Amino acid sequence: MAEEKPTGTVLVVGAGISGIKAAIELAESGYKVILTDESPQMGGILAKLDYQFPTDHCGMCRMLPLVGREYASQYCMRKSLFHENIEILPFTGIDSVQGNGGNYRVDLRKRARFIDPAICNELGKCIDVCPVEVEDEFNHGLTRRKAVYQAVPHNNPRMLLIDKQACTRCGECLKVCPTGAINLDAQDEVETREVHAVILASGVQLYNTRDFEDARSYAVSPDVVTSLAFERVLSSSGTYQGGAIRRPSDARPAKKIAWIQCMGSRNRRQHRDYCSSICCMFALKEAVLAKQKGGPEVEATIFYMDMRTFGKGFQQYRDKAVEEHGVKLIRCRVQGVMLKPDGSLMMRYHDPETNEFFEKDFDLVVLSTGQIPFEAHRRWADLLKAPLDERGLLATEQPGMVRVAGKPGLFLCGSLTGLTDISEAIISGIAAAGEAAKFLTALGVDTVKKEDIPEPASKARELPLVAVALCRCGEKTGAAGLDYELFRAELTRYPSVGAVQVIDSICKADGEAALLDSLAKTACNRLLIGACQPFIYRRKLKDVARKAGFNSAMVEIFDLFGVARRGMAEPSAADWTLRAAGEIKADIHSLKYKPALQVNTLPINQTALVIGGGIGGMTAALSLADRGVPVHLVEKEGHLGGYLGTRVEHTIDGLAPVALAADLRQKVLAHKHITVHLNCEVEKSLGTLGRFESQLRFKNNGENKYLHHGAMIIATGGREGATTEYGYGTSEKVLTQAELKRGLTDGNVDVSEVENVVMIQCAGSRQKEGRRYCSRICCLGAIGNALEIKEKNPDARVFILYRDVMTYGFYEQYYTKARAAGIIFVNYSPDAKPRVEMAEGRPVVKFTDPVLKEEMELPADLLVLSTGVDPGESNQGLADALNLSLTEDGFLAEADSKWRPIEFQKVGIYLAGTAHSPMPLKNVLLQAEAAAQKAYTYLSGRELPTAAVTSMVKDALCARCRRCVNICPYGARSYNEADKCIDIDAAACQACGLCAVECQNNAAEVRGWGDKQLMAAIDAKLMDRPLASAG
Amino acid sequence: MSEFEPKIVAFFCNWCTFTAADLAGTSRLSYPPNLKIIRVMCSGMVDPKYVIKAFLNGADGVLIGGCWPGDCHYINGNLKARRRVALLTEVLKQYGIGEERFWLRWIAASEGTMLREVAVQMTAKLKELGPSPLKNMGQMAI
Repeated sequence: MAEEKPTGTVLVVGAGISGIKAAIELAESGYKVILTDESPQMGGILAKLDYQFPTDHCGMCRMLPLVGREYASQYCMRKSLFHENIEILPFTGIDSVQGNGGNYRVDLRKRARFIDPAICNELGKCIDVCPVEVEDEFNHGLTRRKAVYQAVPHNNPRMLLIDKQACTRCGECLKVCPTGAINLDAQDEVETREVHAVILASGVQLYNTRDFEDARSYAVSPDVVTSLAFERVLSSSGTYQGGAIRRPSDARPAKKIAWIQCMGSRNRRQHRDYCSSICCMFALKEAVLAKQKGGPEVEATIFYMDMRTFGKGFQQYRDKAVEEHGVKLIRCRVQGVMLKPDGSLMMRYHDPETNEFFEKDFDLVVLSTGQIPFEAHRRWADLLKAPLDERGLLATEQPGMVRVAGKPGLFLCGSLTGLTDISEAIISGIAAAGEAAKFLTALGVDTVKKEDIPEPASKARELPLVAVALCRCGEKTGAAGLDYELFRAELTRYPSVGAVQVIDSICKADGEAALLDSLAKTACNRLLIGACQPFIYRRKLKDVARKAGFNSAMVEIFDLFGVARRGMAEPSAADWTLRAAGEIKADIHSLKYKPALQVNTLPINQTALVIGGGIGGMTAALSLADRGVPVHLVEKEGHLGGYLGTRVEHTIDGLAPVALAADLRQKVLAHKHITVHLNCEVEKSLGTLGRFESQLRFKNNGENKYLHHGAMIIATGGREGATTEYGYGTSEKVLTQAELKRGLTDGNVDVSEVENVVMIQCAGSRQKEGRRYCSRICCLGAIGNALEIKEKNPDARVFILYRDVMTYGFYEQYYTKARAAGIIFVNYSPDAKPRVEMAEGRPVVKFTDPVLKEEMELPADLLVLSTGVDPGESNQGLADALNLSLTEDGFLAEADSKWRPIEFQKVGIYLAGTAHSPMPLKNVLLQAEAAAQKAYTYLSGRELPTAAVTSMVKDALCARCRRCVNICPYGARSYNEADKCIDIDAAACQACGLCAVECQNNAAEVRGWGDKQLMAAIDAKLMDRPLASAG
Repeated sequence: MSEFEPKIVAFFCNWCTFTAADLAGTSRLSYPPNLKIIRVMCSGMVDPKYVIKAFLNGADGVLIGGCWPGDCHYINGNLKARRRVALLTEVLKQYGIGEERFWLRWIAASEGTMLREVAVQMTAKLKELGPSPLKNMGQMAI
């Protein structure tokens, strides 16, 4: 008999964006996850961020699983998260990590909440009587809370806890608690768990005005806030009440608001020689929101050093903020804030545009406080006994990547891999999950086995008779609870109700047995369970019902404690009961008409297609092939390696692309699971997740080949940007950075004699004509080349004419190094670009010096242009072949720039590398790993269960007008020319119901959300009996 | 005679507005019990016939709550809802249901206070307007 393999288990430390994403990815791949967080709630910083650019709204829920959504929560992630394979432990720290790869023993410290959430009825009487008031850290002290509190207002179920520091042990709460849930002497519990791998996603500290002297000196008034606190000023769950932005000191509307960038970062004096990467976009977004929420008369001014708009769509957002919203940007480091007697905040600054000094009053000043990575890394290094690198960060196998050096089975993601924004946190989370999944595959552990309870017959065609089981829920209902006798009397009035049972704690074993027992006797064919937290127990209760012979489509769970109490602050038992009875009636009515649902399985062709044989494509292909997935790797050139892998020897941050590509190429060619197709492009691709068919056309002989595969990854890269500006092409002394780089490597450009080298950044980039975006790598490339010239010829004078130096994150140190090496950086404005003239055979660069405001002339021995990255020339063809869309700039348009950065609306197609947008090699590698993991999730099994609730077509009613095909946002509907009918891709359909409304014939319908159910719910709601108190 | 209590059928999107209603609940903000909340997955799934049905069956007002534009979990379902509501408003006017009785509001998950505000405002407005002219037409029509 085969030995029972253990179930692969991964500990994810930190439930912020990257940790949640890593946990969801692993859970979707079928592994068990323990997700912990130090704080009492999950969500990390995002719990406080109601708005994210570029939409200026929230889209967090878009990171939930799309295909296996039956196993996970389907509601706003600000409430909470639920997934069958994820055990969430908030308020839990890590005491120690013992053991090694594949076998870690972790001591988890579950901190005492002093309120047992299993017993607490969440009514919050204890909050009312608590006499202690302290600053609410969720709102950064802008509001106050009691010592008994809920950490995040949106969380549901409410998880109350007592702040031990603030609590005076007066005992008032104990007196009023109806369920005895409070224990002021509760102790932390330490529990040892064994896991196969650990992902660290604990994030980093943020600079603040409390702990850091520099920021403290700015904080002269409560009206000087950090950027995160300003999010709470903007939020309805913070202090925003509509109409105006109110300043914290006196709640007067703030009309003049200023942001000061680089607080705590880019500061060598404080040993913080890095850029926090996220603050520029953060400030731009906040400025736009301030205008939107505070009214058009709000003046928003951002004082910055360099406006680092390096990511995809960032530059366009900046342009929009300035041109459409009137946000004012001033390049000036403001040295201090003065509090005037009238409470306004005076700042003195220099405006480089007019070259004048100003003194101006502001109502509110926002400090763009950056990230502080070192503390978190040091703590982990101590705990794990892992080495730090020279920067003071946990050493990883490759810089900025997720595998911790010398610690197999230990991975990093999120801000621990560098300083990340949301999309990078998501990508690194998926990549870390991918690395962990690869590690678990190599260990040979198993995925979670689903308990196989056969689905009973649906009985959908029998006359509906509903059994109602009401959970008494332990002691929760206590004294102030429901009146179950009244409840029973109300429900038995309905003819469609066959039986009403009141059962204690259905979620526990005894309750389960009692439920099974009562159901065995019933003649009912549909079941409604009234319980608490239905979203947590939904699957479990449905399994119980299934054991009792109820088809899971015929079972509904009603929220007795949340929904039924909504809008009633202090309900009496009778009111609550009548309200619940009224609400539950609507569910009974809609349950009566529930159709039979069935989970379909989708056959999966477990083969992947990777388009693009560059470093990204080869990395993704190997990642899949190493896990046993057969891969077709398609490359349009006659050799593997791509642009970087054939032309760039080394990057500024110590990666060696050519050597890396050579190594990858060798592995790819030798791999038994990879088939390489050279000299060909994808001409057409049809099909959906699990069954794509792609046509390859070979360039040399025009032949076609057809491939069948279950998923695909696009890693087609980009190409060197072109320009005709600044005299390029007229002299061999004018060249691009890429040409200089190659010349320096192969010796064709000799710099030993040069006196002046001038580099012009953003040639053809970040402007309305040509490339509108920042190419992200040119500032780094220019600094790398400049340093190399200085090394070869220390006497050479190197000038870099720039608009904003985009050395974000730890790349900042190369900017510092370049300035220390004597490289001269001169800022120019896009309104007054440098001009180039030829004199005596060499270029002369004319520009305005920003300090002297005088015209300067600089004869150059070499004029080097940073021309950036253009989108790949095959992008358009590929988008047409795959029915994808491109951004205005010609890169492939992902599903959601923040929350689904490497996916498309159509499931089964993933994106990696420069096909997405220009990016450094480190990001290409992370995206490739992440894209491989996304594909692997669906390719790991032979079949994939699709969601039960999807849309359907009643073929007899269908007029084939195809309006539903056009309206479907997921491309899940298509017209089948052969069979002359509408096909539905059950994996792609998300059951949003747009097709059902669009259909003129009622042929399209979402199962379980049809007209019958909704009409019944409307009827039931309008028949509501008045409450006792409304009498 | 007791005061007229309008009945408002509220179709709330699962992702944003329903969460806001939950938030109002957990924040213990009380709002008028006149809202009869029906959860739908997306505001874009509210068929005009549901709105008409609600009015025919005695609703004095109908409120559709969805995510802010750009927020929609299903990409653009709320924009489809907006387009439909604009057309349906014109149709309902022909039957004596003015736009004061049929509201579409964007309410994000964090906007529990706004949800209460809308509930209070709509209830007050409908009390002022009195019962719907279509009240109990449903029995005749169906």
